[in-house]
Amino acid sequence: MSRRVSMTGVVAVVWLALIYLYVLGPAVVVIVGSFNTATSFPSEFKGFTLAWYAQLAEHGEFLDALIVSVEIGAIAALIGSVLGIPVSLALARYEFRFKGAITAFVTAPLILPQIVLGLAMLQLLTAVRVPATFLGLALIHAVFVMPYVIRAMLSCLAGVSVSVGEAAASLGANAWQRFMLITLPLTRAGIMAGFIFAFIMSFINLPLSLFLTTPATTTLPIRMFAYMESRIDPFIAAVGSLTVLAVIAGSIFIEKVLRVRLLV
Amino acid sequence: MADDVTEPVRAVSGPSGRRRPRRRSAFAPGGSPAALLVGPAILFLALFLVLPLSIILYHSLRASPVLMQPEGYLGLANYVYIFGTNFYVGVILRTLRICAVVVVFTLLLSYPTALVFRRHARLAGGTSILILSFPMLAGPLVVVLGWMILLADGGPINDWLIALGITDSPIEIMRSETAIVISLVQFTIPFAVLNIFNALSQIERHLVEAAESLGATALRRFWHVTLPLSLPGVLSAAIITFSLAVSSFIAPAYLGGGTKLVMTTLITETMLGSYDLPMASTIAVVLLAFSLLVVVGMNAVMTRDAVRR
Repeated sequence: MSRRVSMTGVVAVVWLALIYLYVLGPAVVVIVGSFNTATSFPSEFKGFTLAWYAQLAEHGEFLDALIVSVEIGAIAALIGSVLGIPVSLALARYEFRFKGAITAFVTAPLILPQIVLGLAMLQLLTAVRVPATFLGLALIHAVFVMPYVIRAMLSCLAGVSVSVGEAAASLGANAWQRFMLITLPLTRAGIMAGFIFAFIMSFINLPLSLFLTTPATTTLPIRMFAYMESRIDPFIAAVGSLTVLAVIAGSIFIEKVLRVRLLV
Repeated sequence: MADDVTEPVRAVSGPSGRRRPRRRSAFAPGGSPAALLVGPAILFLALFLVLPLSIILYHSLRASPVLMQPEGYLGLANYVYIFGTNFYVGVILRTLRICAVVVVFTLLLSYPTALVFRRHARLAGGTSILILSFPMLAGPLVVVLGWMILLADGGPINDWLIALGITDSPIEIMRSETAIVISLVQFTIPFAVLNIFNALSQIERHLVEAAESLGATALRRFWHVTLPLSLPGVLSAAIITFSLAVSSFIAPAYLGGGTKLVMTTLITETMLGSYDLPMASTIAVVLLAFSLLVVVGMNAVMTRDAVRR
C-alpha cells in the first residue's frame, strides 16, 4: 500500500516537473538568453554578459516607449479604479435588478478580442475627428483593465464584514462617512492590488494598442514587437526579461504583502 | 492578447452570491445607492466600448471596395462575400481548428495538474500556483519571444530532436499551425489549471469518502464522483481557453508566419495591408460574434452552476 502511494507520488512530481518545464520554459529561455554574449539567435550560450542591459540606456526609442507605457498604464489604472471600485462595492454589498447582466457587461472586455477593441477605438476617434491617439490608448486600456480592478476589490471585500458598516450606520454615519472611515481603510490593500494588477495588464498589452500607435506614442510592447519583426537577439531578450521581472515583483507584492488573492 | 482571464464572471459574482438580498432594486425610487455606484462605469463603457463597437458594425455594412457596390451601399454584401470565398472561409476554419486543438490539449494537460494540486494541498498552497501563473502575468509577447528562440530553424528544440535521434535533419516547426498550438497551449494551461483547481476545491471531501466507504475503487470514485462534480470547472476552463485562443494575436503573427493567417492577423493584414476598413470590420464582427457567444455561454454555465449550489 505504502509503495503504491509513493509510486503515485513520484508520478505526480514528475508530471508537475514536466508541466512547469513546459509552461515556464519559454520565459526562462528569454531570461537566460539575455545574458548571452552571442549577437543573435539561434546560438548556443557563448558566455555571460550584462552588456545587453547596459545597451538599453543607449536605445532612446525603447526608453521613450517605456515612458509612454508607464503613462498609459497609470492613467488606465486610475480611470479603471475610479470607475471600478464603486462597481465592486455595489456587486459585493447590494442586490439589484440586472445584476447578472451588469456583471457580464463590466467583465466583457476581458473576453472580447483586444485587436477589435483597438480598431473600434480608432474608428471612434476618426468618427469624431479627434486625432488624439494618446487619449484613445488611455481610454481603451481603461476599458480593458477595469475588470481587473473589480476582481481584486471583490477578492478583498469578501474578507471585510458587512456588520462593521452596519454598526457605523446605526451610530449615525452617513454613506460618505462610512465609505471614507470604514470601507476605504479596510479595503486599502484591495485598492492598491487592483491598481497594480490593472497597471500590469495595461503595461504588457500589445493588441489593444496596435491600431492606435503613432511614432510619437509607441508603447513598449509595440516597440518590442516591431524590433522582433527584424531580429531576435539577446538585446530584445533583455528588454523582455526586465518586463518579466517587473511583473513578477508586482504580482508577488500583491499576493504576499497586500495578501490579496488574484488567482485562486 | 487576451491575455488574461482566470475566471472573470465567477470571480466577480462569487462574494456577492453568498450574501442575501438587502435591497430589492437599485432603480426603485429611494432605492439603494447601487445605481449610483455602477452608473458611471456603465456610462463609460457605453461611450468607449459599445459605441466604438457599433461604429465597427456600421463599417461592416458598407461594401468593401473590392465588391464595387454603388456609393452609399449599406447591407450584408461583405458577409456574403466572406462566407462565399474559399480564402476567408479557410482562415475562419483554420482559426476554429487551432482553437479546438488548443482546448483539447490544454484540458488534457491541465486536469491532471489541477488534480495533483488538489491531492497534495501542500503544493497548491503557497507559491507554486503563483509561479505557474507567471507567464500569464508576464504576457504573451515575452512567451512568444521564448518560443521564437526555442523553435527557430537551428534552435535548441531542433538540436535536441536530432540529439535524441527523433529526426536526422532540422525540421521546420516555425511558420506552422503546430508552432501556434504549442505556444497557445503553453500560455493557456495556467488559466485552465486555476479554473479546474477551483472546481475541484469546491467538491466536498465527504462525498468522495462516502463513495470510498461504500467500496468504490479509486478509479470509480474519480469517474462517478470527482469528474462529474468538476465538470463546470472544466467547462469554464474550456470556454476561457477558447476565448484566449480565438482572440490571440501575437502567437499567430510570429509563429504562424505570413501564410498561416487566423482571424486576428487577417484583420491587421486587411487594415494595414490593403486599407480595407469595411472588410476588416466585417471580419472583426464575425470574430466578435464568436467571443460574445463565449460570454453568453459562460454566463449560462455560471447561472446553472449557481442554481445547482
